[in-house]
Amino acid sequence: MSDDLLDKDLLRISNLNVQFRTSEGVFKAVRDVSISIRSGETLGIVGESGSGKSVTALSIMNLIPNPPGEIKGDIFFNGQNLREMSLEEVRKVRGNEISMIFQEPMTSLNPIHTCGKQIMEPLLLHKGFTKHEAKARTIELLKMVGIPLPEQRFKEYPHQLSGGMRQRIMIAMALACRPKLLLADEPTTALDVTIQAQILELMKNLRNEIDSAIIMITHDLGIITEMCHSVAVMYAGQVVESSPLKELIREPLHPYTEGLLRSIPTITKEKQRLYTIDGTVPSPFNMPPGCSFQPRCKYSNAICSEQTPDLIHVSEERAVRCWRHAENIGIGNRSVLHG
Amino acid sequence: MDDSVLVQVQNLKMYFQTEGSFSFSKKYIKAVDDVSFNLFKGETFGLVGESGCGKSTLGRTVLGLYKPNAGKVIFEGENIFSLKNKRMKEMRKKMQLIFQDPSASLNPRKTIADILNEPFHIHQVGTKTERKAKIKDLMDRVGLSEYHLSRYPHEMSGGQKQRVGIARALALNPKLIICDEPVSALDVSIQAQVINLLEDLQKEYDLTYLFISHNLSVVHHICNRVGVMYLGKLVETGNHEDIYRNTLHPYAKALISAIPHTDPDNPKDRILLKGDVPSPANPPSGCRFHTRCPERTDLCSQAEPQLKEVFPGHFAACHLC
Repeated sequence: MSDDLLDKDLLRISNLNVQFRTSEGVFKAVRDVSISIRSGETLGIVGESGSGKSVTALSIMNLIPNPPGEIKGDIFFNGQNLREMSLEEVRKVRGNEISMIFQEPMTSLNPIHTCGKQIMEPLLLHKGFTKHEAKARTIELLKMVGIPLPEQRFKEYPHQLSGGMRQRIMIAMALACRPKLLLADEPTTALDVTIQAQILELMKNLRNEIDSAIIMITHDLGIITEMCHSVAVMYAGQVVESSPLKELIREPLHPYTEGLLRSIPTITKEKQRLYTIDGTVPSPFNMPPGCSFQPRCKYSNAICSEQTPDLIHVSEERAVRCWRHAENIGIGNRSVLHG
Repeated sequence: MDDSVLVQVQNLKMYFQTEGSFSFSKKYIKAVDDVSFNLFKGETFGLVGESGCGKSTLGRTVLGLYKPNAGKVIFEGENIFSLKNKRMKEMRKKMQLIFQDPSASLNPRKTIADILNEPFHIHQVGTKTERKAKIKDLMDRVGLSEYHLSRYPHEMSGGQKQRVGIARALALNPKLIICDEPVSALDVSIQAQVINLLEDLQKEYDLTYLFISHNLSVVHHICNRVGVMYLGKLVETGNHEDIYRNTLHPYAKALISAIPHTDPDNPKDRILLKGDVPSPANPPSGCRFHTRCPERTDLCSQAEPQLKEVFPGHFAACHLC
């Protein structure tokens, strides 16, 4: 990759591998993931539970405990390799330039501290605000995320708030230091649709306001369509397809993406039998040989169960991990492979 | 009574007491407040609304799992709340429940065979061999193999566990199945499998479903009729086409506009509701939605609108309709 391309990417992950040693064996949660994102962009990561989405995000934040976790690969943020930094240096970046909205607002807030105190913490730590300044900024943040009576909420504890409010507290906390990169791990899963709409709108406004990049992790393709510029589809720890949003929706390349798009009911589709992807996600301790999706794939071929396909670029912006497309552009010619 | 009606719910009220032990100091959460609707034979009636609006409580009260403060549930001509225990037990065979969380609704210390045997054991149905044959048949019907019978719930995936839950609900040949968020804990690819299974079973066994969900796309797909709930009240009911294409109530409009769309070329206008759902312990006066309603008038905070038939078969509770 050339130098000016490197400069444009705010975050570039290359060949990330994360595995956990457990009593049942080695669990490869993330395999060979490479993604990059620029400022002002939103990247969506979709996948089913256990596909490695959250582990990827936690690796960026350096929150994978070691042991049992082992991380390999490089994570460049603003040109610096986060993997080579000391814990002290990582701490300066984490919560300041990169922050994360965690999945469950119910369990990610500290129950024994007031909401205000929790939002103030990164400001006092990273920005060197005085308590007085931090409080003023916190109340401003609470207003920004649409919490009524911010002065009163500042003093309240998480259990006194509803789920939607707690999620907004999480968002306020994540945004406190105006991060350049925001990782949102299923930020609206626990919320109702009307609240979800509010939160998504809020995140869009913030992206436009402070020109930060957002990585949106979700299993809801509707949210992806709404929010993202580009999408990475993950299956069994690998990125199986990455593409700009519109092309992905219009013409999915990987059979898994195609199945996912066709199997969600929508209110615009005519009522008909839902398309299904047969079978279930393979156990991480018992991965099928070759392509991980091959046992469930309707196009599967002899080669699919023999060799793992690489993530190949079919165009400048699109990449897919599938033998069908490898053949189309002449890589991995079957006769060569078999010969 | 009309022959096509399986269940009539009339003015059902289910309040939970929260504090106070004297009559003057008692406080209630009005989880279900004066709800009436009919379930027709062979249909799927969808119940949608945000968390805490009383959907699940309504479903459970219809099954007779709660004793309501007022109102009737008339199942095949009999009010289930006036039945004696023995008769009620008979009645329970005809109505079953599928739970939201398949992991939490299966006993972890029992094998799948034991779990599926339980309905037969409780109701003293069939001999040992008959039960065995029936259980095998059920497993087959929901797409599980005999091999799973000796497994424990923790050895199965979420989709498989939900299939066990469905098999258990089917065991006694019920007429009505209340599906309480049956697919919301499942992954997208598994969700489609379970929805298709539910549809197949409905055709095969002529079942009536009360389908409770907060996922409006799923409800649109599976339901014939839909009821929208807000703070313990039904605010709109009608055919699914009426509800989704010709929405009347402002809350239902906001709810439907909030569904994330999957077409990147046609972003739609969204009605953003302000604020959170008010507490059901202290609902707003007049129309319960008036605090968040974009179209409210002065009348809304004073008088409570009644559910009225705006178009044939399409009811809404709003002063503006």
